[in-house]
Amino acid sequence: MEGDAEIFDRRAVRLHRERAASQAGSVAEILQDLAERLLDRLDDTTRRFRRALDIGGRGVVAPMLRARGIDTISCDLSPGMAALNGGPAFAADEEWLPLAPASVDLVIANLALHWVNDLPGALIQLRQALQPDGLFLASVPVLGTLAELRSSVLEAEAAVAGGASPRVSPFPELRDCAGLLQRAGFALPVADRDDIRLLYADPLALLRDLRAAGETNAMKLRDRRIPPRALLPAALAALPTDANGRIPITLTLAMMTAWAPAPSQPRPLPRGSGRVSLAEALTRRSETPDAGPRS
Amino acid sequence: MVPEPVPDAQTPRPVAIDPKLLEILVCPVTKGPLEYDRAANELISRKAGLAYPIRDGIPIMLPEEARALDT
Repeated sequence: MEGDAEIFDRRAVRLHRERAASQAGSVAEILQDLAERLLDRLDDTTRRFRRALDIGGRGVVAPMLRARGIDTISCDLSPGMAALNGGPAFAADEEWLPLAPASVDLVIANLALHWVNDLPGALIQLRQALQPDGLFLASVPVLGTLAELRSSVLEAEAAVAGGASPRVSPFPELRDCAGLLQRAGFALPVADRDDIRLLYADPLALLRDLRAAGETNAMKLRDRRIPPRALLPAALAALPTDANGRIPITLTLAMMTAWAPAPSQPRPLPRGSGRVSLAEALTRRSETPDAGPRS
Repeated sequence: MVPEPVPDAQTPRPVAIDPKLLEILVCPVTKGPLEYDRAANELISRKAGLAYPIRDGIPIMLPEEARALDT
């Protein structure tokens, strides 16, 4: 038996993406909107980028980068998905990236890193692939994503089968994201949160969209038996609806921004370079009225 | 979909690989350099003893898809 510590079945991820490659057009609109939110961050910097790596962009991100005048190379775990990008592309596993050091100056991973087992390892490899002062920009679904689906499936399965198995991915928490970037050796890491609400008239359309985005369950411990016939209808009927009978679905995305370290970046002063001692600064503060804790 | 001609050993019709890819790709296992074998349409990592196939111009840099070199 191979690595029990692995949460995701990478072979299943690849098959799901391969299957989704022929259907990705049906969710292109949502993916484009989400990619636009991420690429908007490029407008916040005056830096010009020359060569970008697009990871798992599902044929949506690469054309948008090219429209911004950035030379783009795409990569995907599934060769079929990689071929959608209409430019230079290769198939690769994010955990085994085949990239020469300092080969690109921008990495974009739009909704692409949440099925990776060794996320810290993938981030370190991406940092090494970036030139100094290169930018890493990623959106990753975090806890809160598909919360409605998670709880309705859990409740329905407990009622129908008397137990529950993992069916919605265990997303990371937002507060872990910046720490992950820092641990991978990035400079100036930032992770902020973007909540997106989608409204579905038909719960089956939600499942179709998830499938077309290659986002079906790829957990190692997933229940591989055919679920009881009553499960799906019960779970979908349990999804909460709004006043108009539509089903709100939440996507909570961590927008991660980080830079490959370079000497030109702002950094803390070296130790011992301070001119005012901390003790002195604190005494001065306690002398002023109203300072210090009150009991 | 357009039916694709079945590739066979007698009439290889490889799609040319984009030279930009050759600039940035290394072997995913060893991070060592790759040789482009134009005739076989493969990227060869001598250090890992693996040949990565190129299908429709897309290098498949997955160790499980690579051919072991007989040395």
